[in-house]
Amino acid sequence: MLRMYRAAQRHFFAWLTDMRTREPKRGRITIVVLVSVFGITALALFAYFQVRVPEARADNVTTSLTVLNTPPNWTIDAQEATQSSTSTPTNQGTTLSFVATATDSSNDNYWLIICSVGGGATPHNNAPPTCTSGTQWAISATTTSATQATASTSTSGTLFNNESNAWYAYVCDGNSTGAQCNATVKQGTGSTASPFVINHAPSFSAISNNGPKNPGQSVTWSATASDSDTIRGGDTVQLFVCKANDFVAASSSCGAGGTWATSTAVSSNPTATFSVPIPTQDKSYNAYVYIMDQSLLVATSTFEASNSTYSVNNVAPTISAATISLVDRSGSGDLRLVNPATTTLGYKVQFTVTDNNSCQNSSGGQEIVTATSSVYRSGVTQNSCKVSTDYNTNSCYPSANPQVSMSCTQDAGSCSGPSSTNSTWTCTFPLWFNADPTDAGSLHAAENWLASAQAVDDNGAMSPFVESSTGNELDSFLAFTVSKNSIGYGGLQPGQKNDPLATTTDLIEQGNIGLDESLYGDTMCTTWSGPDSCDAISDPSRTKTITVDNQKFAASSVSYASGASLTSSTSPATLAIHVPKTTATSTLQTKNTYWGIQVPASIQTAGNYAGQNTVTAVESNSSFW
Amino acid sequence: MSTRQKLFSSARRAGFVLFSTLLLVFSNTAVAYAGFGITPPYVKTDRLTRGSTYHQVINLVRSDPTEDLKADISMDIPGAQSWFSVDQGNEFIIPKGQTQMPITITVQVPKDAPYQEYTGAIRIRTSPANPSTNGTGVSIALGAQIDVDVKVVDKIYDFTVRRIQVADLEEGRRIWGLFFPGKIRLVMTIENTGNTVYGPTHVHMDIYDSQMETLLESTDNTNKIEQLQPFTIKDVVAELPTHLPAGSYIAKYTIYKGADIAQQNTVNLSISPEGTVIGYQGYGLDGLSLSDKLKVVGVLGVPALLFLILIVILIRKRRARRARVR
Repeated sequence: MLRMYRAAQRHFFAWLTDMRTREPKRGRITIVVLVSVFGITALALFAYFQVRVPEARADNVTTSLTVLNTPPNWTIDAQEATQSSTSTPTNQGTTLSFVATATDSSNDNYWLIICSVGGGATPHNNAPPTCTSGTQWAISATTTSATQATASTSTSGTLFNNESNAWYAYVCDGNSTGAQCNATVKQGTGSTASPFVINHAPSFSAISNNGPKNPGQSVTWSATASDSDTIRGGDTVQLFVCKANDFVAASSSCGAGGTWATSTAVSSNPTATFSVPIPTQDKSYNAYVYIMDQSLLVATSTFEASNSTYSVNNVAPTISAATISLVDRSGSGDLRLVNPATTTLGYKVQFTVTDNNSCQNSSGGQEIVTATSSVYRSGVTQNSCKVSTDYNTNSCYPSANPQVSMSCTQDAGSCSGPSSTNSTWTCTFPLWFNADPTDAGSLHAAENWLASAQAVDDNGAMSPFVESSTGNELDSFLAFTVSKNSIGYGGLQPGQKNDPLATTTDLIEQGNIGLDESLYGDTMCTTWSGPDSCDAISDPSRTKTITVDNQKFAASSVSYASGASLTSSTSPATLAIHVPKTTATSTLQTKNTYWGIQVPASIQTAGNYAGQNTVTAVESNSSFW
Repeated sequence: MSTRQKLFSSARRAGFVLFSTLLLVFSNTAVAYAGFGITPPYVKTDRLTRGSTYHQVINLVRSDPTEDLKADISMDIPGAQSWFSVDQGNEFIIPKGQTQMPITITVQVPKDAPYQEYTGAIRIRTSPANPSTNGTGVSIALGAQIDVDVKVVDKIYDFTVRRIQVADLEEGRRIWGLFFPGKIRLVMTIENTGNTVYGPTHVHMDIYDSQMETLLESTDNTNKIEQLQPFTIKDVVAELPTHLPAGSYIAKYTIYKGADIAQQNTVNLSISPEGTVIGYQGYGLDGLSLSDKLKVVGVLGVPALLFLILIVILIRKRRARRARVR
């Protein structure tokens, strides 16, 4: 007090002096007033101190003062660290954070506390504050003054069952003697303001698919799933079906394993459909299912990420008629027989087998394991050339008969892998010499030879028995033999003859057509050495050469006079012997030619007369086969 | 005649009879021949045209090739004999050990041959190349007759489709904004049954889904299909573009001969994903659609054309300048 009085006194006198020098006239009245007031005040103060001030007016005075703790002050208002709103809610189970910055004048550390109601926060000395009422959503760690505090909480549990949740933020220090909370509550601003919104996981209680399916069909997964959140008008759910257990919610997609199917976003019970492509191997396929809502939160039930395998059926293979071809052993052209009286090997039936499960099975082996084929003259028809007993060397070769020796194999390299449906097959088989010809002039010229094929896959499923749309001709095969290599007329005197014709030669049919004969002969003499060699002998009287016309022939043992005269090579004679076509391989058709000779009376030279007759087989008219 | 002369004559006759009887009796042998045959036993065609050449391969076969066999060929074809020739000649040997011998009979029709039918025969006679010189009795030579029936007519255009195959193919691919379609290669085994160079004129394909319920694409061949010489059989290829993705389809193909259909049928078509078929070569620029080709022209052709025009203008200006200087 005394110091204050003296300070006031000094200021007064300084002012007084200033007034007197500046405005002498006006200031005089003011000076008088002020001096009076000052004087009265001085007297009052003097009296007071005389009464109150201890008698001991020495230099040593004891003073004391208590300055109380003050709460931290907001420097940056509390906000949701990441917007948690209706449009961008916080997925339940994730961390929800709030941030703020406060400064404490005492440099005390502080806490950011988030409460569910605005009833304030209760500070505690040397301890974190608590919410005065309601629920504590979150509290930060002790934070240095002027640095940002972050209060985080996991949003798991029943505490966060509501969608919309108001929050109130307070900052408090933990002063050891007088902790304080700032009375001002903060609720954020803009998009990060209270309330925070929790998005709840969808429910997922069942999954099924409508497999197994065939390649080319669709498999559909159906989930029993929904979402209870309504704040956005009702959340949608989506079903993802992944090939591996690698769904990535953040990208709403399956991982590197790939995707089978994805549903559209629906309010409940989504379905996802996958079209099984052709080809697809017949086996079971893993299919991991996921339900996720529109906020990228997946379900948490046991069905989530479960394996709803689907199966692809085995389907029977097919064969295109246009791909079946009957191929000669030479690789092109008509079918030709080349072995008299026996089989000719190496004919082929080639065709393409298609399997919608792929030509390669899931083990990397052949999907098609066997194939069979039948080859037949078209007039026989497929239905009459299927079983073993239908076998007929003339017209029907069913692979069901082991004697047919039909061997079918898949052509090496014809299946290019699991993405291919096709493989080509070749069946190799022999034909007997008497297989019916179908070329022009034959008995069955209006027909051809056809092949039918059938394939079987590794599950035993069979294709239909498919007939080729185009066939092939089987050519006539003129083949024969004779059992003798010479004609013996016996011993005859000049003028004698074989009467009736008795010497025979046979013509044995060894091909697939009927035969007649064309015959011609040569002049005979004792020095015959080759064709026409006796004609070089000058013998106008015919004493040592027997001309060809002295030989006669017939189809039966007729009299010499009734036989036909043999001719020379320039104009062969035809004998309509009509050897039929051989129909049984064990019994070759044969017919005899009867021969006779007359030794001219003019012959004078005795000896062994030789010559050569040529028996030429000629295809007979098919009516005689 | 005196008695002595009569006796001498009788003795001579008896001796002759005895001798000849002895010798002729033992000429009868019974050794079987091996089988011999020919296929086909004809040269037949009704589609020769003037100036054309026709070949017929005939297989000579035998079942027991234990020795060389000599073959002699003789022809009797009135009016056309000179047209016929045999590649082996009229005499040749079928060697020991060889069971089959193909010979080719060629018919070269003169350019002024009358339009008519010619018939006849070609005979093949076989005999041992090294016959026994015993020469007893009448030996038998075996022969086979090739019937000849050819007809000279005006030009005939015809072929048959013996077989079809579809080569493996991949789906199309997109490069630099241009779509290069997949290439379907339809391999056709064609027999030219006419007497003129001919073959498929056009191939069309309608491609359906695997159930053959929906028509997905129609396409035609982009290449010139090889034509065949008459009377030949050969594989020819039709190339058709497809824009369909990998998958399995059913293709209905139609092979044309002119305005007529030679063959129409269905076949499975499997298109593999890109890069999965070894050795596959797809379309290049020739397979682009018209719009893509226009793009190429626009991107490459127009600037190139403008550049050429610029060059021409510059050259002309330089020439004009030189002219003024002179």
